[in-house]
Formats: sequence, C-alpha cells, structure tokens
Amino acid sequence: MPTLFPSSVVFVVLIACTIACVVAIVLVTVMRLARRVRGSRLQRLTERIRPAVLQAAVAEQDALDNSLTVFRSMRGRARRNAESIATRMLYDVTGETRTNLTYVLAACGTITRAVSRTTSTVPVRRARAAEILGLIDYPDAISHLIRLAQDESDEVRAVATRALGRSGRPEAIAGLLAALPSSSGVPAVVVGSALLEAAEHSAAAIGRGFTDSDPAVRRTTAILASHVMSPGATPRLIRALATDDEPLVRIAAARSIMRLQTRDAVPALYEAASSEHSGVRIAATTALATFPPAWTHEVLTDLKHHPDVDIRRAASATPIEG
Amino acid sequence: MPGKRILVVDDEADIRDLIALKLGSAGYDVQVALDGNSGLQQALTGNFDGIVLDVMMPGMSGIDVLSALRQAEVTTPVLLLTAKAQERDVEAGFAVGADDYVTKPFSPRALLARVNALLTRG
Repeated sequence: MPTLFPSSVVFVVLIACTIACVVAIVLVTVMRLARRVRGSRLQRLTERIRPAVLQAAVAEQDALDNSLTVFRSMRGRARRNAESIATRMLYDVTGETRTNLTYVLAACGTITRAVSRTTSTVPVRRARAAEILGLIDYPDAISHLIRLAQDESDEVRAVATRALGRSGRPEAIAGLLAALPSSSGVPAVVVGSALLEAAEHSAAAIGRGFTDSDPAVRRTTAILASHVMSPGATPRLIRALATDDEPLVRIAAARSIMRLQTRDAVPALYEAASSEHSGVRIAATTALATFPPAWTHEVLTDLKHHPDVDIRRAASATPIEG
Repeated sequence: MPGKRILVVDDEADIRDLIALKLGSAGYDVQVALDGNSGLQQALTGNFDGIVLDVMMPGMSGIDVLSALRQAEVTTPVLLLTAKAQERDVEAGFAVGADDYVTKPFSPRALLARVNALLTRG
C-alpha cells in the first residue's frame, strides 16, 4: 500500500508534536504556579497592611500621626497595596474616617501623584486621577476636577463629573451645572446622578435650569427637581408641563409632579392629558391616576371615556372611589 | 457601653472589620459573621445585645436574616446597613422589625452613636 509521506518525516513530525505538547504543559504549569505564588504573596502582604489601614481609618486625632508613620516609609508593592485598600474603603465611608483615609493616601504619596496625573497625556491616567480626587476629603481637588470635567476625552469628562458629585462639596456645583448642557458631551444621566449625590448643595441651584435654552438642561432639571426637593419646584414644574415646547421636558415634568403628589397640579395635568403629543398625554394621565381619588375623581371619570385607548387604560390604572 | 455584645454581619471584609474595630474601640465585645447564613446562626445562639446587619449580601439577605430572627422571636435591636440607592430596602427592613438604619457611605463614628442610642433605648 503506497504511503503519503516517508516514515522518517512522520517520525520527525510526531517527535516535534510531542515536544511541543510537553513544552506547553510545562509552560501552563509554571504560569499557574507563578500566579499562585503571586496570589499568596499578595495575600500575605494584604494581611500585614490591612490592619494598619483599618487602625488609621478609625484612629482618634491625637493617635493619627503615629498611625501614618508606617505608610510614609512604604515603597513599591506594599505602598500600592495600602493605596488599593484605602481607596476601596473610601467608596463606603464619610466623616472622620474619610478624612483619616485621605491622610493615609497623602502619606503614601497618592494624592501628589493623582494631581500630577491630571495633566498626563494618557486619558486612562487622567480618569484614574479624577476618580481618586473625587473620593478624598481634599478641597484643592475640586479645581482639578472642574478642569477634568471639560477634558477632551469623553471618558475623563464623565469620570470627573461623577467625582465632582461624589465629593459632596458646594464648590463642585458650578462644575456640575456646567456639564448639564448636551454640548458638554457628558451623558445627562451621569450629570443628574452627580447632582443628586450633591443634593444638599445643588437643590437651590437646580431651579435655574428650568429657563435654560437647552432642552436637555430643562429635562434633567425637571427630573431632578422632585428628587432633590428644589425650592419652588412645584410651580416651575406646572409651568414646564403647560408651556414647554419640548415634549420630553413636559413628560419629565409630569413624572416629577407624580412623585411630588401636588393637588395644585391637577388642572395642568388634565390639560396636558389632551396634549397633541401622545407621550405627554399618557404621562399626565398616569400621574393623575396615582393621585388621591378625592382630588381626581371628576377628571379621571372623564378621561376613562377618552378616544385614545392608552389614555383610557392609564386613567383606569387606579380604581376611583365612590 | 463596655461589655455589651454586638454582632456585625457583612460580607464586605473591609466594612465589617472597620465597624468591628470602631465598636471594639468603644468597649463593645464584637463578633463578626461573614454572610447571612452564619449571621443568622450566630444571632440565634449568641445572646447578643445588638446586631449591625448589612442588607445586600449574597444568598441570605439582611432582610431575610432579620425576618427569620423576628419569626424566631429574637427581639435583639437590629441596625440595618444599606446602600443609598437601595433605600426602599429600609421600608422592607422596618416592616420586618428593624430598629434603625444607616445608609452607605456612612460615618463609623455616627454608626457608633446610633448603636449606643439603640442599646440605651433597648
């Protein structure tokens, strides 16, 4: 029977395949071992450093400086480990503990590095710097974050905007309001969430957005007004529902009014239930259906006979008493 | 409140140990549980004066643990720890018998003050 290849060639190929398999197995084994060694080394390091970070986090003022000594002398992997633990904790704590962890990061040199990385040519580094500056209790961080909120990179702008909200500082509000227009390139949901995080300081400022020329600003303002309990929100929302040119703003106003449950808004909602825009009609009727029946009995009875089936369905969502 | 026994139940090691350290520094005898199941077991058998209970945990949530405790007629004061975005959990928590709550991000000092108040009332 004729053979396709001479036996010597087949033999060489088999030997080569065997060697390649053995080399692959050895490489995989070595890589797994190396990963395991690295993992256990990191675990030992974390076990050594974590208690020091925890102690510093809850230290009283007079004991804090002593707790920080160990971080000032840290280098390389140990320092990065301490930074990572302290940064992770900062997402969940406020008050004195946040201040103490900021001192830990300062002792590790993290804050100095983050500030210098705000001007890095690499967007990922600028974004990481913004993330850290938003976590710490460090007033000077705000000016860097406001600058990064206008960065050329979309990603950096979004991270800096979120960080401004998380900082919870009144100085951050101007930067957040500047990010509201759609031209900022920062998604409205990011700016809105950031303003909500800083609600304590943003409530009064948010009201100004109702008269902005940019519909994206007016819509975000209408959404936020009920969440942050912006002063004077109800009459502004009623006016937006009745007069805004942009249906998305009117829908947002109707939903905000639904959250606020304001009796004064019933006539405007009833009027909006006959709007030309079906989204506005449904949002207004849905809002009316959630109000106490004593306020809306008549208008809902009327809307239950509306020619639009969606309106009839929305009006019937809540049974009318009596 | 030296000597009072507190159970801290949280699956996040950093937060659990931070709370344990803060309460321990105030003189409390603190025990920790790593998840809802072991938290429930310890709470049923440990005779604690107060429990700090995280709501969001894999497996058995804080609400499940609290509900099981109240069904077993354990009346130990419970403080819920919940994320700001999950404040609806607070309603569910009070409905099943929580005594107080703290939202994350939180101040460990404020949490200590609330635990002190809870145990004084309890």
